[in-house]
Amino acid sequence: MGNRFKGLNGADVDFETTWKVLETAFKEIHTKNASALSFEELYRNAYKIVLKKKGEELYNNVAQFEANWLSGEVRNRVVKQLTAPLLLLTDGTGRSLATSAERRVAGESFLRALKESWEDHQVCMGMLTDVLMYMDRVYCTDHRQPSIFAKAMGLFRDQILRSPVRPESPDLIEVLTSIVLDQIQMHRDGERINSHLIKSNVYMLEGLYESDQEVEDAKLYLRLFEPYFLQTSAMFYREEGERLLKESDAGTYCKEAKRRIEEESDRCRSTLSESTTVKIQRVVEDELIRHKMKGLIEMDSGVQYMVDNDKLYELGLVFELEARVDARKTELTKAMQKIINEMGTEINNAAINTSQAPPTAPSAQDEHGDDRQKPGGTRQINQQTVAALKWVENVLALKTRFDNIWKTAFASDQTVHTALERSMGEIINAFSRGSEYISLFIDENMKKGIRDKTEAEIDATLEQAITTVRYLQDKDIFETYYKKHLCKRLLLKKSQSIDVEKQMISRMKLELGNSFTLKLEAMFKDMTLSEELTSGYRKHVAQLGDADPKRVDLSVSVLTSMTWPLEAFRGASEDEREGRSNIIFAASIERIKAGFEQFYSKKHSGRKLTWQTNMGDADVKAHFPRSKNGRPMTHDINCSTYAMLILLLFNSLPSTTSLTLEEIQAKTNIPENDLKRNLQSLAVAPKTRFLVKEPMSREINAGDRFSYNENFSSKIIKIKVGVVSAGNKVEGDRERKETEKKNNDSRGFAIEAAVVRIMKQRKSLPHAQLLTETISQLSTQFKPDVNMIKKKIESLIEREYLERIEEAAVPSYKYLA
Amino acid sequence: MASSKAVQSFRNAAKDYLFNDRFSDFTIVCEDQEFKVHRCFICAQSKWFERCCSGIFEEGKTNRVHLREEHASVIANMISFMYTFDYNDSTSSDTFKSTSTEHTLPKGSSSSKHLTSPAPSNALQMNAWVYATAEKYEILDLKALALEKFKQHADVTNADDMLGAAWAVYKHISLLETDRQLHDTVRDMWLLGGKELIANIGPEALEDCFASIPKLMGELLTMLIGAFGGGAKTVRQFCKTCNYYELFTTSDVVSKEFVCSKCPSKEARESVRLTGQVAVKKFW
Repeated sequence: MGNRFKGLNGADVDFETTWKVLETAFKEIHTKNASALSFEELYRNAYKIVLKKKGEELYNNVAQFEANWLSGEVRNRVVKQLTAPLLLLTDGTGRSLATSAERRVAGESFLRALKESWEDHQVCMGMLTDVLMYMDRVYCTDHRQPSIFAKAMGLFRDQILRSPVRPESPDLIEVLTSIVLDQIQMHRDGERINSHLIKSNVYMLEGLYESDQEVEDAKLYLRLFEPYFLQTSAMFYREEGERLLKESDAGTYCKEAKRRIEEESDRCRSTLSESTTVKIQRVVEDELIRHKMKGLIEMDSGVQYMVDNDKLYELGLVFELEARVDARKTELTKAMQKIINEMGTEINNAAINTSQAPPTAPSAQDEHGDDRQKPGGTRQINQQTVAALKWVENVLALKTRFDNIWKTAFASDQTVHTALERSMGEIINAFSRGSEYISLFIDENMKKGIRDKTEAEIDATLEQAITTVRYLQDKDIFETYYKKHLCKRLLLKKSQSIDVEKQMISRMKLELGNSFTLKLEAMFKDMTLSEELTSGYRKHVAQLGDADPKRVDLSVSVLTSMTWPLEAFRGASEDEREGRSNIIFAASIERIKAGFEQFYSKKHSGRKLTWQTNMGDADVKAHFPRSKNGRPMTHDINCSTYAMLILLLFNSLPSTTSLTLEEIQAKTNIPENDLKRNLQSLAVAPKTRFLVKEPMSREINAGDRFSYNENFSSKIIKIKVGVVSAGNKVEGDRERKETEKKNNDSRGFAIEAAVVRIMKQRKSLPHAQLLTETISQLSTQFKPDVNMIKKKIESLIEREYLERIEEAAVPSYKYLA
Repeated sequence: MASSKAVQSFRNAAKDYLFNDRFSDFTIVCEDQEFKVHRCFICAQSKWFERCCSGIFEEGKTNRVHLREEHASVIANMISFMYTFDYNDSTSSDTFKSTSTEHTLPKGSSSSKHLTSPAPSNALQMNAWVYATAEKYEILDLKALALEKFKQHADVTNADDMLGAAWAVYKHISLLETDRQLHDTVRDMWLLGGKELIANIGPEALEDCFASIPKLMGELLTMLIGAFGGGAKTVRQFCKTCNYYELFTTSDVVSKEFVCSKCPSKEARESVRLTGQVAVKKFW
């Protein structure tokens, strides 16, 4: 039936005739002779063929035409460019047989020929696609055929790239790959190549697929070129990396690695494909960094050397390199931590050595009588103070140094920062006297260090101090020392500036929290209140109208007993503390003491005043007949309260009368140790020898006699009597043990309080969780010892605050209300 | 999105450039007429023109295309659509001439090539031609519009229209075999016309038509024959004497002797009436 009606429609076509018209035109197109062809006519012919259901024949004819054209004309043109040096490349001999210049020139003409063929093919197929657009639209769509353009690209792949150059030899694409790789190698070796040519060929490989399905990851570039490129690059960089490690120093290595990575990125952009950038970078990073980082860091000229010699730029390079392959910069961080640890340990050891070193042989100049008479211990304590200051300064210097490295070389990287900070913390906490030394450092600065400093400098010093405090784990121990040192500064008025002291406190408040500074602030408050109290008392006395000019003036510091670490003043003779309350005052003193007590109890009823006589000081006017070149002179003497009491005894005696040690003690009731020390100051120390001792010797012994020194002579009006153990010094071993014990006790209380607080809220809790919560609650104060927590829990169970839950799956406790 | 007002003013503005050689950068030649057009308008609507204008073929170089084997009136409508999204399917030359400024080529110019098919002479034919042209030059919106207009103009009682549509669709224009929208519409129109249409056309013209367009005849027949079949048939028995008839179902006839109820005759002749159904897509 179909046959009968065929040909009846007006516009019938004869396929062969029409195809001839098209074929002729296609030839013109391929020989770049298309400008006289009419698009309309060609389209119309193809259109009619498709309308008449001859789409398939047309499609096949075009494909055949293209295949013939490629294999007949184009392939020859390309193969002709394959000269001897190039053909040998694929089996690896070419590189040795021809000079690189020869290979480059030959390679370029091959690449150019291939590029031109490809580009011609694309242009021609573009034109054919235009003419055949109805075929693509109808035939290819309906029959699921690749577009004629895609088909023709596949033909190019099969007829040109995938066909052997000549029988029994490799496919053209293998030759192409080896030529490109050869040229890249030349480029890596520093020769100039025509990257544009290579890029055009890569572009071709990216436009072709393994099959006509055109699956994205089946691009020829990805399948047949890139793997070889990455493989040869890996080989090259493995060797280059090893060579560089051997031949150059770490800094050069880093610069070279960086240059290579950048160079490869540039190459991808200019010569290959941007899609390879990440992969080749990975290859170079693997070969030059990831696999070599450890070796690089450990080189003689590695990180240790760079830190030692402040090679910040090189350190920056190392950082940059490792940052590329490892977000955590593991190797570099490890190396840096090791260095900090070593340097820190050195600082710690130096401090221990200094503090334990035998006292240097006293030189003649140092020989003040004061020193001579004191046991060697004092000197050792001074040495320890020096060690403390040195230690803090060294730690700060270390910190500054690594901060600088971190900022300059490590791009202020957070991960590295955390690691470095941890190391700093470790070395500071590894030093058992850290807390004490830091407090001493602050003490020293408060007393002397800030004297001539500008506000900004003081600020910096405070900040430094806080910086070190920040690292301390056992903040409670630090608090103990700080309180002690602050106490002495305040009471002995050693502080340069109360303002600065307060600034320090507010910094600590910011850094360590309210609870930390509560007691410290209370101390300041006591001081302020005491000043008001003293002036209030003076007014009160003035109002009494008792205008006795000889009346002793009184200045009182009323200290809340729990807040102040008064043991700081106790010195070594603590057993005698009970004796203090029974001190016998001279009548004039006793009168004002009673007066003040009366005044105070009127103001604050129910409070008990305890006189800390061992901590007071007094200004005494003393008259010596031959002091000023044999003429009389009155001196202002500043001395301890005890010394004053002793001196007052001699006021009421004739100048020739002497008192024995025992008599003095009986008249004053001063504890024996304090008495001996004060007498040493008053009768032995040459500059303050107001009393004459018999027999004259360094030690104070039972039965020694003391009398008024009529022959005392000094040019100075104001004389300060050396107060024993007035300064803040490093603790002796005994003191330390005591501090530790006290600290452990207070830690015990803190732990118990925390446990009870937690349990009260939770009612019941597994053991492990209770431990964790306790530790986290206390972490701002100190790092609790797990054994201690366990002991405290035991003790709380004994005291029936808690009980064990017997049937619980994991060990748990219950709170007993 | 632009407001519909903005779209409307653009459409109004575009209209002014239709058949206007101001800024024209391309010429379409068809039969003896030249249409001055603007590449940005025609290429925006048609991929074919886009390739035609941009390629390195002759057309791209000369900025001129000669559309052979087309009717100028159809091409004019195609161009009109490209500027106005509509066209005038009337074939009276008056309306067409009055709205266009195309140039007429000198008589005897080589381009007035012989066309195998006569130019469309009514709206139905015009729309059929526009439809085919839209397919060829890949203007799919125009194709849809032409089909719609084609259906609008179908007057199944008009013998000339029906014949004209049949000729145009089945003989004059060329389309893919699978592109059957026009064909189906024509076939359905004929079925819908029914015997009144046959009467209107007249036996001779009908015979001519079927002889010339056997494809249409074949499709109609296929539809019609396919409408019958299976099921019960109604049988009429006519009395041979008095022509009185009675209706029976087939089974009745087999079981029963015929006796006329009006006369004594017992002889009868039988006829069978077939009924069937044809479904026609509504296109009007």
